[in-house]
Amino acid sequence: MADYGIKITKPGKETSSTDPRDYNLWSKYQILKVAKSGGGTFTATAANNGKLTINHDLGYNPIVLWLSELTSAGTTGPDAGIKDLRGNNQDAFGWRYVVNATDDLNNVHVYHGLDGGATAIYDYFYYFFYDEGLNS
Amino acid sequence: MGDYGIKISKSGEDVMTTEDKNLVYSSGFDTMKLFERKSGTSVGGANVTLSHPLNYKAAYMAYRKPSGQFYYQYCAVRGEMKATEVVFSNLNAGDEISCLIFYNPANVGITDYTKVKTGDYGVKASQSNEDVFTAAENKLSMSSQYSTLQIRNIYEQLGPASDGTITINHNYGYIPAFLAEIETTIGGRTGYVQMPRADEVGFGAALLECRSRLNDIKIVSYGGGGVPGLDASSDMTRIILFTEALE
Repeated sequence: MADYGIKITKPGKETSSTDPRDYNLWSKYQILKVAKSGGGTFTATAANNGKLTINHDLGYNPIVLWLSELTSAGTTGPDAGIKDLRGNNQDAFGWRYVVNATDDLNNVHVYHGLDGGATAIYDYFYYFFYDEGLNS
Repeated sequence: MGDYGIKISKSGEDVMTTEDKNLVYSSGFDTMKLFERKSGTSVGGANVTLSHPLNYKAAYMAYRKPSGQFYYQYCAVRGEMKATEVVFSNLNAGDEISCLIFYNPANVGITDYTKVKTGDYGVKASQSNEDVFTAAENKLSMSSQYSTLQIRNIYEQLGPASDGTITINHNYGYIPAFLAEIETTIGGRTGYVQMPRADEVGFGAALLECRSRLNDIKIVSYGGGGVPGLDASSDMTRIILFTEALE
């Protein structure tokens, strides 16, 4: 059976190119498809162990893009930025871990640091993708 | 009016019946639409500020190339996305930043994306029930005017052991953007955790990081004490390489 698909090159590039960088879209490669996105504000406390749980009901561990910022560190307001906190990334302004739990395939668990205090408040935004981070 | 669209399945999958995860593309879903890749170099350790015209906090993926090195890492990048710029701090002199900025927002309440690219050409597919002729960028599933984030390959590998390194050769001839995860335990919960992986408490150096280079990608473990919750004999690392280059 022939293998059909779509190729869309960047301006000035030819569809005969074998370099994926020359394409805006090439169906040979899987496109990340957004299953769910959203955001909000979360208060991390000792009582909740800094854990925020977001449901997706996909039944597998999806690829996740998670962005968050520690707003309780005095960085609120129009000039505040959304930070790309990843793990404890040597950032004194909060940290978080995104956990795709192997025993819970319908939720993503995100652990946030308490920033040395009793509470810490984070704004967050996430993308969950239909795509698994697995060879399948 | 009917609800038209495009679906492309993976090779060997029936496009009419396969699960969503087996579709290479469907216009029924939103995708990560790349507005632009921007880069900058820290002068004397100063912040790197990259401007953008989107007028909202946009989703982004940022990487640092330490001064004098040949790899990009996910670690120790303190990015701060604002409405018209993204600012990187905590840098050393000569550090380079490569940042993928998407049309997709990174905060709630964005109803329509700013239309910053013009021109009447190419292919567009809107999301379900949206008029493709009038839909703003956030209501499109794809447009030939910009790149969509695509997976080139996914690698899974055991380990690495404490203070060890694993190297995966991809031979792309360019440095690809990536996401990386490690199977480990945090807060009593076992699963795949995005790298970098560090101590869970407080504020310290990363113990595990992923480095993207011209023809390979490395997972590096260091710190002497090992990586919390990691059993290198059974826990997997997972690296997702994108078609998008970092330089």
